[in-house]
Amino acid sequence: MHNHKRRITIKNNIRDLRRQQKLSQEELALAVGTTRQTITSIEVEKYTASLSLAYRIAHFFGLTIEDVFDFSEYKGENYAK
Amino acid sequence: MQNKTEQLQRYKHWAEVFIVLQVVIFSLLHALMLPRIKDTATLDLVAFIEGVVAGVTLLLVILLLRYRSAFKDELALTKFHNYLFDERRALIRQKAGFPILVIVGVVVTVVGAVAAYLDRTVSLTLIAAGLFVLLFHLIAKAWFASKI
Repeated sequence: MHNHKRRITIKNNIRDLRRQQKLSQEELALAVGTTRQTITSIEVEKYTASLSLAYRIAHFFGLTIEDVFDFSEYKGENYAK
Repeated sequence: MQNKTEQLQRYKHWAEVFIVLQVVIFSLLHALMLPRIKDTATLDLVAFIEGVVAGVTLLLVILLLRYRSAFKDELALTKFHNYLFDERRALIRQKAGFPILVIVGVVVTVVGAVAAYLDRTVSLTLIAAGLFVLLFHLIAKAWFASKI
């Protein structure tokens, strides 16, 4: 059954990764070419990063996009139905 | 970095062109049209509009100074570039009707300001409509910024 009320934001662990590396939001934003406000919005799941920003964030932490963003709720779904 | 500098230089040039155009147009209107206005109420309106135009010009000069200060060091330039081309900011602006609402609002307001030299009622109507559109855009932007 297709879920029309699907969440459009994707869970992520950017805040944990950032804290592990003792980075401020401003420092991360500067490193990935965005603003502190965007990093805040992504961390609180108000905003979903574009594919290119998601890649830049994951690449910055030396991880893959799937390591940083949680796509588990999309797994096994058949969108053709 | 070179690409960022070129983009910001282009924006800075546009701000300069806009300031010069605004000063030239309103200086010409002031010199050529103002002596022809006899009605006191219309004169008051024109004086008000010329004050607003002077204020807008001052704001543009401040914006230009901000652009110039961004070129002083690489960190400031990167931060300013990141701010200008931030994807979330672009989404908020897009949702709030950018660029069409801003273009319509600015054009209608400027036409209204120019019309003040010709007809008071037309000018007031156009300025009110233009400012309403710009205000609507700003409120929508603030609303989406709090939601996204």
